[in-house]
Amino acid sequence: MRLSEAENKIKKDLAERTLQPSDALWDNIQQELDQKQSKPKIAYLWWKVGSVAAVLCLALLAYQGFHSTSITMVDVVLDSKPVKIKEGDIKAEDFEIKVVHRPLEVQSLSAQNPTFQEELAIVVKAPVKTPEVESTQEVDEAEMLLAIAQEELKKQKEKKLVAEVNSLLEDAISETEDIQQKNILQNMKAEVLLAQVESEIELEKPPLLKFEIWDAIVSNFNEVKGKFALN
Amino acid sequence: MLSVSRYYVKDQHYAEDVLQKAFCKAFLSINKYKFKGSFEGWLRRIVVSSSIDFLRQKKNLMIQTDDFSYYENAENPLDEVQDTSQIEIAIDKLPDGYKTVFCLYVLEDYKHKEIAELLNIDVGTSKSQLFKARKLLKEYLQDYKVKSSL
Repeated sequence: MRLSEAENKIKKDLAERTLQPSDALWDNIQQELDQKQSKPKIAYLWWKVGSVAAVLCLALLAYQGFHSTSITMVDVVLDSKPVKIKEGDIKAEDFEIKVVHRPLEVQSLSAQNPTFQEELAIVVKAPVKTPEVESTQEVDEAEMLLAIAQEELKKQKEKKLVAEVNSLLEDAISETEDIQQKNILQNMKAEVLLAQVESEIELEKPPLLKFEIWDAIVSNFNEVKGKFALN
Repeated sequence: MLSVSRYYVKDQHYAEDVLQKAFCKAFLSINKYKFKGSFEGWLRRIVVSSSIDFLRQKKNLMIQTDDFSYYENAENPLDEVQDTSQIEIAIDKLPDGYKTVFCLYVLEDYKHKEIAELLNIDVGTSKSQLFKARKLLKEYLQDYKVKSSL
């Protein structure tokens, strides 16, 4: 719908119309502009401070991420539950080594070796941990105690083994009549013999070295005995 | 510019408030003026939109949806009007919806599509509002003529 002549006239008249605003209008505009321009400054300051804080937080997180190691369950246990008992704190009274009887396949030729029919066993005396104790720390203490006792048992078994081999060598020396073999046996020490056997077995990394040594000695001496018997 | 805001806002004090907000808005967003078209036109549009915002805040700008098909072939009622000396008073008497559409279309040269987008109405409603505004203006102006002749 087109504009009528009256509308064109209205448009022209109203365009020419001027209204005088109040004197305070420009002051009000100035005041409002000042207020609105100061607000963005504060907002900008907050944005600036906030962004700096955010960057610092991200940097801190990144730093922690780069410098942290992967935590395994073992680490957690060890770190959170430190073992208080050190090796030196374990006293000999905490455990004892008993001699128990066990039937052996090898019987000594000498009646002076009754220890051949016995075996050492660990008996932990104190501190005795009750089954209902669930603390990881106490479990660790018990494990450490057991490990030390096992180490002690191993040493004693090695001593016993050396003593047994030496007695076997003495038996062999006394039994043999061949001077050359006797000389070889006399020069042979139990430690050397065990070391040789151990080095041979070490190459194969057996799970229980002491038993391998023991079996090797038993079989070797069975052969020695057989040869002595033949001679 | 005060007269522009005065088209839409009856009270001159309110019109000054609208003008104040419009000027602040223009100053604060002066960087958005791209030197396409006149600065006066750009500022005038800000004043108009500020005036419409004011009417919306006062909830005076409630325009009912209408169908223009009834008025499609109707003649412009103001064709018959000769004396427009009292047009300002007549415009002030219009309901805000009629007045806004009339001022936008006649005085600001907005198209119906632009008016519809600005006021969030459909084009048919804009056309019907314009027709009703013209009709009412004609009645006001003729009434004044009759009264003044008595």
